[in-house]
Amino acid sequence: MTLTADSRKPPERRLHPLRAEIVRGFAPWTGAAVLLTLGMLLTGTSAQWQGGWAETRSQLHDSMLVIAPLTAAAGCLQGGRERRRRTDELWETAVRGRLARFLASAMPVALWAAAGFTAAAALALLATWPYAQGDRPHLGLLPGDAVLLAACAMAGHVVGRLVAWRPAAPALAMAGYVGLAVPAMASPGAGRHLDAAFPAPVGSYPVWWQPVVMAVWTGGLASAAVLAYAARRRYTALVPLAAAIAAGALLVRTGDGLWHDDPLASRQVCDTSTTPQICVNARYEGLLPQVREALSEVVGRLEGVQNLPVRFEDRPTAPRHGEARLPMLAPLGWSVVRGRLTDPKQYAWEAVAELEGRGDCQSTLDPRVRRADDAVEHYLAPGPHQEYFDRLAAEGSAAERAELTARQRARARLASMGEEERRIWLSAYFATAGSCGARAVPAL
Amino acid sequence: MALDGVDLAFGPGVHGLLGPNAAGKTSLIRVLATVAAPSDGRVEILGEDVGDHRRRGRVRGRLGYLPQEFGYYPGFTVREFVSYVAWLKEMPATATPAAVERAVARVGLTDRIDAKIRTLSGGMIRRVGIAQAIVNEPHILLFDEPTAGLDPEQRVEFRALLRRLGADATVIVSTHLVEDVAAACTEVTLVDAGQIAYRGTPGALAALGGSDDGSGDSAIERGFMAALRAHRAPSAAREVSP
Repeated sequence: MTLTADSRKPPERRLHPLRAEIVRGFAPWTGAAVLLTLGMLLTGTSAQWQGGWAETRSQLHDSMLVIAPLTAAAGCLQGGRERRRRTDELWETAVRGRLARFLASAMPVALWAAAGFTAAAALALLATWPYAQGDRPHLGLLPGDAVLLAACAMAGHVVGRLVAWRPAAPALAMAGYVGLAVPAMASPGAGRHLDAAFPAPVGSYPVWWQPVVMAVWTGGLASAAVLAYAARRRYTALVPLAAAIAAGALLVRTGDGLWHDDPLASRQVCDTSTTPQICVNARYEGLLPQVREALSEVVGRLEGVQNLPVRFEDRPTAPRHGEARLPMLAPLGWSVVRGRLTDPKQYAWEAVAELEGRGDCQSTLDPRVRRADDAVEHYLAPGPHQEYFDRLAAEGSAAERAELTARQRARARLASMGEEERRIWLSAYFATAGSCGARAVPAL
Repeated sequence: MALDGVDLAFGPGVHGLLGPNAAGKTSLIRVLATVAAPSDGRVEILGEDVGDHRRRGRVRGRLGYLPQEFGYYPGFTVREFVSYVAWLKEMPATATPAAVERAVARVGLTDRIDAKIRTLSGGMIRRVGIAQAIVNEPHILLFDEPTAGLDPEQRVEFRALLRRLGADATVIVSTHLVEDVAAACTEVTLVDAGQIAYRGTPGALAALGGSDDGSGDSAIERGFMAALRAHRAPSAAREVSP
């Protein structure tokens, strides 16, 4: 040990002393954990969101249910650092106050958690970009979610400072998960609007000020906890607490008014060159060519047929008069994955079933109507599982074999009709669309 | 009660706080370091009453402290940790890098300044603790068992550092190693059962043991034992007071 020579040479490095808090220790690992966890969650469900901006937004927001408790636990671990490292004693002689020391220790975890989330969100948006078929990125909830994570880290830090219990961090994570999940799963109530991780439905959007007020709610509560713990004048905690209470009251009083339906979702984009016309939700405008291609054979075979609906519509609600509903393009992952129709034949078959419009009375249908429906589906767009069910029936009871024979006869009859005769029969058939009675359906 | 009726004044120089285990040395150091507040009485450091919040802050800026259990962040480098302490001491940002390098050089860790603390030996870590205590060039330095973990060579060098620091500052060293006091201190205070048992120079303490044929391998150890015995026998206390 050389204790005599004082070093007077100019310093080579002038990095800020707090840089070490940001780049060393636990904080960067928190950011990595948030990024990795979100990455795993998003990768596992990518088929459901990687193709729609709204789906991506909802998936990111819904992941708060897992990420927020994780971040609180990370904050709790960091909060117990001074106790574990036995630095409390030394820091008590610091000139900087308790609040400054608290923030120096807690903020890096909060910032890294928010950064990890932001990075994951950016990657998710980039992953959506090549596949999104319409709409635009929805970023409104992201800042509020980042604030939620920062608030969880700060509040967790307070818990970590106060609770000298080794399993405090996992216990806090579990408590946080339950605290966020219960309102999300419970029956509708005003309290759910205070749940910052409450799932965001794909077709709904918050009013512009909802994320701001939610950030005041979560950030205010966390700030109040921090000031009550670390400020020299603890009564200053009343200021953020009052702001949080005001924000919470506003959220609860506004209730369902915090969310509104996506106006784009009610707009349809149509191809009017076919009969019926084919319309898709404006959010998936780019999918129209694929949908038209999938239905091209159906539309071709229906040329000249009367009594068809005016158009296929892609709405979540029941079809209006003169319209048939297209199989749902959303939620993605069912008909569409990453901007591609997953199974055009299945899609066409489902569209034909919607043309028939007898979905509500399948169990009570007269066998003759059922055979007619089956023959029409077989002619326009055979179901992908038709052969399988036919084989099952062929190996079944005498009644099932007889019904199969009748079904095959009806299919053959429709297929063997001349063009004009079939057009007339189909026109009469579609005149009965939506009817559950047997009389009006023409015989085969 | 860890301390009882303690009335002390320290001037520049190296002051040794001697005493058996649990005598109250650490409690006294913690009170002087403004970590613990006395339940009664008054502590004035550098002319400031540390009972007052603002004055306490001013004192802390001119104080260095190495606690008995030195806590550190193992993932920080030596430079980062000492810089962090400088920031906590509210040292000017422009002066910090040079002050850090100077402090680290004084404890002989210049070649390890960018090594993470977790990679250092126990003795080196203790020297990091000393570096953080002196980074703000304090007027008062408080060391609680500073030589614990240092090898004999390092202890000799640490005593030399103490003597240099004591030339300008008030250095108070709590220890149970009487040889440290004999070698480095200009004044010694013996604490026993929370009370001041003896104050004087190391030479005077050693002289106390000169005619004593009791236990102890050196004069100062014998003096230490004599002072303790005298304090524990109140009738004899007046006879050994300097």
